[in-house]
Amino acid sequence: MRRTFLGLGLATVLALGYVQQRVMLVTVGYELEKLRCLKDDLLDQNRVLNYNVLTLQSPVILNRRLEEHQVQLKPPKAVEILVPRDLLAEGLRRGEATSWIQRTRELAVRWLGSTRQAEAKPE
Amino acid sequence: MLTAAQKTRVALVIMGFILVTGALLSRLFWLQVLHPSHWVTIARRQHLQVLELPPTRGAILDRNLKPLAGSIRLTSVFADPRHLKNPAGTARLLAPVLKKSAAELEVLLSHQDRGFVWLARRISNQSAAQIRALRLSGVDVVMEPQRVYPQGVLASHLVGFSGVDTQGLEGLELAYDRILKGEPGWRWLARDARRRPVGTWEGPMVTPRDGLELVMTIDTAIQFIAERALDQAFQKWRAKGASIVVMNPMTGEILALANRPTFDANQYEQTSADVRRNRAVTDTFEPGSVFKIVTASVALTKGVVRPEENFYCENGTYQVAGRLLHDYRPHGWLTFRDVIAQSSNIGTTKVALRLGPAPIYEGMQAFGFGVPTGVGLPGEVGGKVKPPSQWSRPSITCIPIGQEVTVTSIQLAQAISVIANGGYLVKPWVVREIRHPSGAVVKAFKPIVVRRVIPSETVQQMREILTAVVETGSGKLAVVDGFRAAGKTGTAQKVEPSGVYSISRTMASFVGFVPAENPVLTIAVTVDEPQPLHTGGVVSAPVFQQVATETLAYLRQGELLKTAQNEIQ
Repeated sequence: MRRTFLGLGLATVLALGYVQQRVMLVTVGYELEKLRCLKDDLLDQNRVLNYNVLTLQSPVILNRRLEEHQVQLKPPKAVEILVPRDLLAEGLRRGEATSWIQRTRELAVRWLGSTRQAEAKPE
Repeated sequence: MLTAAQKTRVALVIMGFILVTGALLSRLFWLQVLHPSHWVTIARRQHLQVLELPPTRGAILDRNLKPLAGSIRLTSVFADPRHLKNPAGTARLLAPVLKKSAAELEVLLSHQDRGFVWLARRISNQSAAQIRALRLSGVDVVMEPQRVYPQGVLASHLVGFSGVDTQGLEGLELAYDRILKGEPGWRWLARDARRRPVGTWEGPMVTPRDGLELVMTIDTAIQFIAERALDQAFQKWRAKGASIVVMNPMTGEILALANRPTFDANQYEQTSADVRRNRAVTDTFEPGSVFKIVTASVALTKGVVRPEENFYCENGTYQVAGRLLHDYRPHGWLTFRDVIAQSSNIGTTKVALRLGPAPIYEGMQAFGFGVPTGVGLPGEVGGKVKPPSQWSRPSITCIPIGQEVTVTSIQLAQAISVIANGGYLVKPWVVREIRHPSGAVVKAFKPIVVRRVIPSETVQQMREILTAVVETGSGKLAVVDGFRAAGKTGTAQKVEPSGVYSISRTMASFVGFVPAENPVLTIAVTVDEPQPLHTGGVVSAPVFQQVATETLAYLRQGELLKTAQNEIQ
């Protein structure tokens, strides 16, 4: 009799454990679906925001806004590309200056480097 | 001790119990073991559902990978009127969010015989959040895909558009629909008694295959430059239509292609099919004097004429082959170079008479007229080129000066590129690459040289002649500051319904390339029925000048920046 009760008790505990497991599974399932929806929503929002950024960068929109504000832009007669000394030196660092020639050049650029200029078109 | 009667009753109860239990167990055995599929099917139908996973339609990018078409998902609102208790109250709550009148919504919500009605399609994220927050019974939202075009009107004829079901309807969206659309996937979705999704089901699943991306040959900046210049001319000359094609003559890559009137691809349904037509590839017209480049090239190649040879241009009027020919301005003696530079019809006809029909016809075919260029855009036509057997007596005076023959704008760009690139017919193309969304190139397209059309000696002579057109001839308004340009003007009279050539209705065109010595750009401009002036030299040449100037400055700056970046690295 005692063994029977023990057996029934064990079976009940196992059954409850199984049920608990199923309930947990369902609860986690709800959470999973909620997170999946959230991820989809965020991805959708991200796409919409990216689209808005691209729209704002469109030359057609920019030109329209310039016209609305009566701003008139002209192509430059000459283009100046200014390269700061630090940036130039940093660029060389990125190139992993290893040899002493490169290191010397880096040092020289850092101390002596100036701005670079270029003409856009002959005037 | 039990009596005999009591024992009988107990035995009956036990037997009854055994019978009932046996019957139940038999039924259970029948249901669970012998015929389980029927009930399993019903149960599965109740809580399992196949959920389609739509693919993302591939983006369309310009040559610098700037998106011209993309896909987003927007929220649409629907209702089940059968589950609404107070349609009027619900309509009042929804009206300000959906920006519709409460009366209009109430009519929709009062359809008690319907289980589904759309209340609003593709609303903003903010409005969708407000709808969700209202938690209205019988009203729900669903996500729907939406094709978007961040550049709006820019390159809309090239890119085209897709419909509400994201199926390509025009332009590249239509031509490459199969590649762009991808393939949907699916998964099983378990739902509980309240129809809420439960994510525990681990059934089979097919992931969607997203559409591939197209990388075009066009450059958004050059496209903008071309469209702005074309738009200004279109409005200034109150034209019926206009087209521009900007091409790399060496490779055949289309850098820009635009038409006027135009439309915003995001709101394509608000415009007529006439506006949405890609005129540069679908509309044919008599080219007029720009066609003299074919006659001149063939004549020089065949050796029937020399650039310095003199022709008498009959002071503007010439009776030949049963037709009275006129020049726009009367000329006396002109060299062949000046015949083309001054666009003399009489001088060109005299050259054509020396050539005869067969070489002219072969030349037209060699330059790519009469057949579609194969650019890969929907609706492209090849124009009309008659074989000599179909020529009438006056045809020899018409075809060499661009009458009795019809062409498209893109064919003109392709033809002038022959002279720009050293004598080869190159196939124009608009798609550079087909890419996977991850960036891996699936297919890369290369330039296609169709054939050699004219020898390099003729190319050199033609370049000098076409440079003279811009510097001293009819195309002076096409002069590009800082560079030598070459080109040809054209003013083709349109045919009236009565069959005679119109005086006021013309097709004004200019085709050219720049720099003349080492061309990087070929530009073909056509303006349909400009008013009040109507010559190609006045109407179209300035568009060429503006586009060439700004594009060269843009390309030059790009090179300078690249050089500077290389120096930094």
